[in-house]
Amino acid sequence: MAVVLIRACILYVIITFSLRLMGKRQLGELQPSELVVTILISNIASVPVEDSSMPMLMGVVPILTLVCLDVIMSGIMLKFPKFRRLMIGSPRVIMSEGVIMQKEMKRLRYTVDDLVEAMREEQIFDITQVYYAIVETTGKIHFLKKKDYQSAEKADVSCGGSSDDPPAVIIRDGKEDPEQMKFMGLGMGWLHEQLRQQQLSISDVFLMTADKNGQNTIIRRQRGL
Amino acid sequence: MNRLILSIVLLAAMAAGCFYSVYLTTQRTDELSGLIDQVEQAHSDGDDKSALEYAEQLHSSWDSILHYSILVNDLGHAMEITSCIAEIASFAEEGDDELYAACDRAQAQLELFREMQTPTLWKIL
Repeated sequence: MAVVLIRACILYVIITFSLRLMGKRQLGELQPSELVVTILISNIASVPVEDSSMPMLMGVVPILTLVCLDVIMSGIMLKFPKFRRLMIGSPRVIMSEGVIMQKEMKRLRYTVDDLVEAMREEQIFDITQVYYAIVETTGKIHFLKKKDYQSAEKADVSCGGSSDDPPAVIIRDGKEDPEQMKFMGLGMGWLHEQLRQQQLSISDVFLMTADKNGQNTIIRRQRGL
Repeated sequence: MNRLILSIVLLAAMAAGCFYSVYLTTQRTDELSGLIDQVEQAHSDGDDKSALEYAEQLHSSWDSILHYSILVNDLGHAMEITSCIAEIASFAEEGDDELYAACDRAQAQLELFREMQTPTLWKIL
């Protein structure tokens, strides 16, 4: 059993290192250590399931070992930023102020096609619109458009909404939610007043949402369902 | 932080359990080897009654080890040893000289079993 424990530890280090060495392109969305744990767990878990002569602990011990190592590693990474950079790298800028950093792209082994494809995923079809492009540690590219091409936000057009908070569900399927009402700062008196105006009782309401300003939407319950 | 502490505790507990299983296997297989030697000695001395007693003791000791079989990473091998020990008891009962061969087989299997549980460099690699 100790052999399994030691092998699991060694495999963890080797595969993490190998994936780190492979670079960001192969990683996709996961961090290197997360990917290692995901791959290994899926394989290890199947072995004792397939081989009934093998004790269940033969699968459980390495899986728990990997998960514990992953949590311990993330704890160490939290404490030591240098270790974190060593293990998962750091974000890299591949376009700065509209200029493609070709050397950096070559170093990361990103092609122009990769860049253009990532742009299209972000609904950007013209490279001249991009101000910054950053490759995250997960391998995903994020873009910042030039100011002229950014979408206008409410603050830009001085258009205030009713409330910054999204509306909450305060009646669902004929039952009020006192916790949500308290959170939104609305009382039962306000609720009954709103329902009275619409000549409804709580049991007549299928869904009611309201924001902190009291703006609400009511969907009536259909009868006979 | 709780998760981190839990992970450290869990890993330490697993490591302790794994290395305890190595210790337990080594200790128990040493005891069994001693019993096999005693069966062989009693048989060669012509004391078949003692040989049978030792063989039965060997059988029950091995059964108690099998209770820890979840800590063993080679159950197939453990079954082989069970078969060898059953042969020893049978030959001891009959007073058959085949007992020597059965004892040698059991010793070899026990040695291998102990080796398989010990985390040596060649096995890890």
